[in-house]
Amino acid sequence: MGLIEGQVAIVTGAANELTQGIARRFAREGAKVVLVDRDQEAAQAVARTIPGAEARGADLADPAAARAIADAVKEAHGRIDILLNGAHAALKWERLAKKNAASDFTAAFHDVLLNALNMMQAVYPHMKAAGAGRIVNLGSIYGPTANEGVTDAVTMDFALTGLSRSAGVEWGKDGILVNFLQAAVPDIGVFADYRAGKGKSVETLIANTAMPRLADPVEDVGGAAMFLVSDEACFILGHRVLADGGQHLTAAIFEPGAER
Amino acid sequence: MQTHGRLNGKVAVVTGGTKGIGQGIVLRFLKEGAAVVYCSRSAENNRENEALIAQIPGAAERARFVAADVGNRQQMEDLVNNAAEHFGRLDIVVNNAQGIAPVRSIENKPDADYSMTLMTGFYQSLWTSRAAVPHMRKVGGGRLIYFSSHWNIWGQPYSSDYNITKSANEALTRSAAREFGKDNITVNCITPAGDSWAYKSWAEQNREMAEASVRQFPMRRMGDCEIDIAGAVLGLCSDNGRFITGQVFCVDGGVWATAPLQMHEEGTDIHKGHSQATVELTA
Repeated sequence: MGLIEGQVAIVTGAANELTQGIARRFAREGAKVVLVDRDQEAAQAVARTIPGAEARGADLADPAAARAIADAVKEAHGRIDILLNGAHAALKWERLAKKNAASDFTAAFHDVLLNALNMMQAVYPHMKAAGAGRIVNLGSIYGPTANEGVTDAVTMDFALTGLSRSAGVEWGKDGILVNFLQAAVPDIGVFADYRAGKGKSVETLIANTAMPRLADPVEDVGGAAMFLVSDEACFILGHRVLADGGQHLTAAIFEPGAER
Repeated sequence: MQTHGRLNGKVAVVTGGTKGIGQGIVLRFLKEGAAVVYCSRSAENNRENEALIAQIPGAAERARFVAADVGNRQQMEDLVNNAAEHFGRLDIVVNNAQGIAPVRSIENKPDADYSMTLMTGFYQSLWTSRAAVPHMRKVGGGRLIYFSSHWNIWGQPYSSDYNITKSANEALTRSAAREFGKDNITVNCITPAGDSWAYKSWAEQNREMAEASVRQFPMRRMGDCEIDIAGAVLGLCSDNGRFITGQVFCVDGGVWATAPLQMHEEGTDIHKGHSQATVELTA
């Protein structure tokens, strides 16, 4: 029997490969997974590869759309145990001075922070009524280890840190645990493309990491997510958890925005 | 509490496993399938565990008590090496135990308190880790768990020796994570808020303060040693924790973020009703 057998998990930003890894892990541990993405076709394509998963399309920057998703999932499956906010910003990988900061930050704010906040508020009444729930906001390694060219990602990571901490403190008494999961660079297609153009610099950084390898989205990041949604982290809230093999302790992270 | 065989086939050492948080970890690990070697200073302390372990199906032959002093280097090294020898491998070491001196201001606290607290806390972690890592390399990885404290975060008055020891454990967490990561050994540190024997002792003597304190916990309760605190330790030691390293986890119902009142009067004997640690110091 899986660690979250029979539970219902909403996973947003499911078109993202890292987020998908977590969804796969949830399904493997027995959960019914509901994938949500603005791109419903992309979410559907992912859902077809995960046993029992279903897909729903919604722009979660709209609070009404978020509420409609939560209510529909509760109606269809009778419960909402887990919310994983996995949407990532459409980052521009540019240095701050070059940015059209206002529009880039507004886009990132909508994609990451508002999506997460709206879904949290949407599932809250259902989780509160059940007296239990787990919410995991997914961030990146950018917050703890900033580098050049990733200002919007770093800023959103700190925004999610604050949101997770304060929601954790407010909702702990309702049995709802909110935490912030920061994942290291995963071994996924997007990164492989980036790595190919970087010569040996990526290998040097990996070798300097405590656990010198890239993150596996299912086994490593999915494992850390399982820690947070299972009976294991039942007394942890408002907390940051890094699924990064110790990358936050070492050199500055990869510099996606650097000129080649 | 559900069991899932999360530690089937694993061998763990837990220091101070006969009461409070350590006892919770020993029982939880046994229920999840691990073989567990744990210590306390005298076999008398183990009577309660013997009865509790007898109730867990199949656990008796996987549990092994050793009388050992966590302030004694030779005894700590022997504890680790004997565990690996007896059960044929070693996967996990949890450094839960800690000797605690009477609460006294920095001006009044004798140097011997600092030595005793560091020996039974920081040095214990260091000695057992050094002994354990070669065994863990042989099986392709492992888990080291140290302990910190909220007192360290908040600079709890009159416990400077304790706070310094916990800071040392946190620093060791990061260094060991970097040194042993390539061996697939993760190292993490727990800052617990559990109903340990030390907490219960304090709460009995300061009932009003204890109640006011728990009201400031976001979850409005103190943690259960086996369900809450050992749950997190289990997760970090299970496969789920395989890429989590070099971190300090507040397993505390969120109290790290709200910092409630919890003040001792100087000279309070927080061990009233319990045997005081008398630790032989080793050089």
